[in-house]
Amino acid sequence: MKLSGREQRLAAIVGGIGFLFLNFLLINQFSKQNTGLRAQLSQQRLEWSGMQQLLQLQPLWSGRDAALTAKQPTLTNENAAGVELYDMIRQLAQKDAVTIQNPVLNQGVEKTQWYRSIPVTIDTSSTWPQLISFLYTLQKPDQFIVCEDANIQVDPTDQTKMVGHFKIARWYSP
Amino acid sequence: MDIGATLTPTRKRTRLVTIMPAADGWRVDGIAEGQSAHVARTMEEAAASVPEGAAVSLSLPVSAVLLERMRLPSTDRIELGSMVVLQLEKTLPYSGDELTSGFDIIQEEGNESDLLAIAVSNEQLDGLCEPLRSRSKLPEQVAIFAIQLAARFPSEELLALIFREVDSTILAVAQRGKLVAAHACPTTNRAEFLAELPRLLLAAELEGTPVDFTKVLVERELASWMDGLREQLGDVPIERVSIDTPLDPGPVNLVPDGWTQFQRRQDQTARIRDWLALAGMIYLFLLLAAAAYIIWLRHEVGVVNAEVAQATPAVDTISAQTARWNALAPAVDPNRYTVELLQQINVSIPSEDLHVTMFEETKPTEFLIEGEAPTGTVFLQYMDNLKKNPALQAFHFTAGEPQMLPNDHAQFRIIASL
Repeated sequence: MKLSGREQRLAAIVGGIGFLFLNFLLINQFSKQNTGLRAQLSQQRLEWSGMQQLLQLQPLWSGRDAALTAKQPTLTNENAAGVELYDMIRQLAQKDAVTIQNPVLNQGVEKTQWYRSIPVTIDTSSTWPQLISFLYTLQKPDQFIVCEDANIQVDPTDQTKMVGHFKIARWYSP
Repeated sequence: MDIGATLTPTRKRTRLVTIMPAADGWRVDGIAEGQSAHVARTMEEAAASVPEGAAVSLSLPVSAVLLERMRLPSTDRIELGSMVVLQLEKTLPYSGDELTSGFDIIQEEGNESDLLAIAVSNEQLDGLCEPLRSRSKLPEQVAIFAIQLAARFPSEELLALIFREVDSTILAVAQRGKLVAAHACPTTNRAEFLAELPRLLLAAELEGTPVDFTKVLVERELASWMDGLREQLGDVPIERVSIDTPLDPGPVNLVPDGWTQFQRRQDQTARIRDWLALAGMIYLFLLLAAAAYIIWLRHEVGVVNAEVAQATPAVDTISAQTARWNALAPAVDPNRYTVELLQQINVSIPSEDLHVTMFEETKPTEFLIEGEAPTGTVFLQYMDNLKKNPALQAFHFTAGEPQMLPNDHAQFRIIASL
């Protein structure tokens, strides 16, 4: 069947519109895919870049982890641990002429994913240099001793002295 | 009426194929390099042998055209063309647009031209060339074989040419390479032609064509006719001649205008088809390129995904180690010790008149400073020093508006958190 000129024109218009519509769908689909994939790729490359930076520090973190495992003390006796800590605090305080008052021991063991805490609560009275010296000798990296709570104020009755309230704990391996 | 025109070869032709009348059909030459002419029985067969893309030059037999000698009062070719058309319209039973015509000037004398007008019916030409048209191989040149042949002998004063064309025998008369008359005898039989020859010569004489030939040339294959011809033509030298050699196109081209337009349309259609094919290829290429790009993107995403997945266990381990270290930092990092914090708070004091009255550390990640500054400016400077202190860079400092005391001192409260 041969189409007339008018029919051919109409067929060309319909075909053209169909072709344009098909192209619109294709371009739209391509655009969506392109945008989505590029965003995904960009995000993953960023993540990969961050991971690579972290992986470069792997020796450092492995070393630190190994040091923590090697040096963190292990709790053998919960009841004795508080007393031992208090004795050590008392001896150090005596050395720096820091007066200790109202000690509270055996407050129980606080457990976290990373440590088990044995705290001792004390009040102190001393001059500023004495307090600084006491705290300096108290906290050493190998000791795993932490001031979980500290409140230091000028003594209202004697402006030359400082009064402090401390919750000092040793963090044992979990 | 169409004056013969040359088809414009808008598309490049690779080879020229000539189709000329032969004794028993059509001689097709130029089909392939180095190949001799091929004789086709019919035009259909001749058209089929023309290779694709070849330009076709067709030579018409005398029987297909009308030849009329005219003497016209002009030497201008354009004027002569118009005069020829007018004369032919008067004498022929065709309307102007049914004919294609041309002319060859035999000689010019003063303001007058002696010429041979040639006309061909478009319908007859279309019918003859239909096999070529249906194959889109319409001739770019339509010549008259007798005129082309006569042009081979420009030095002969008055020449008679006897040769066969498509089941006819032709007696053509040429003066100095110009055809002046041609008569077709509808037979290729020797005896019949010789019997008809006196009548043909008489007819030529009556038309005003001289017949006292200086030479007679006979087609090479008609050697056996020479004795009979000699008996009728007397002492005129008679020689044989080969007529299947390539010939020049000649001065007349009877390509009808309709063919030119048809060819132009064909070429235009072919060009559009070429462009559409190119556009289609580009479109397809773009589609494939877009698809390949998406596939490549997916592949890249897959590659990075695999790398991330491969590195994830190691990263998780490092993250756990980092979290453990950070959790235990108050116990192992000297920068986080209470004494170190007190030291840094102390060294950041900008003036001796600023006093820290209270330090409170409620949890390992946060501490509080209270104090009195002599002026608000000193307090701001203290805040600035704390923020700039490298050892306290990990902490974020915030403070409310300082409270002004009766002695104009500013009482402040600063919170530092990780």
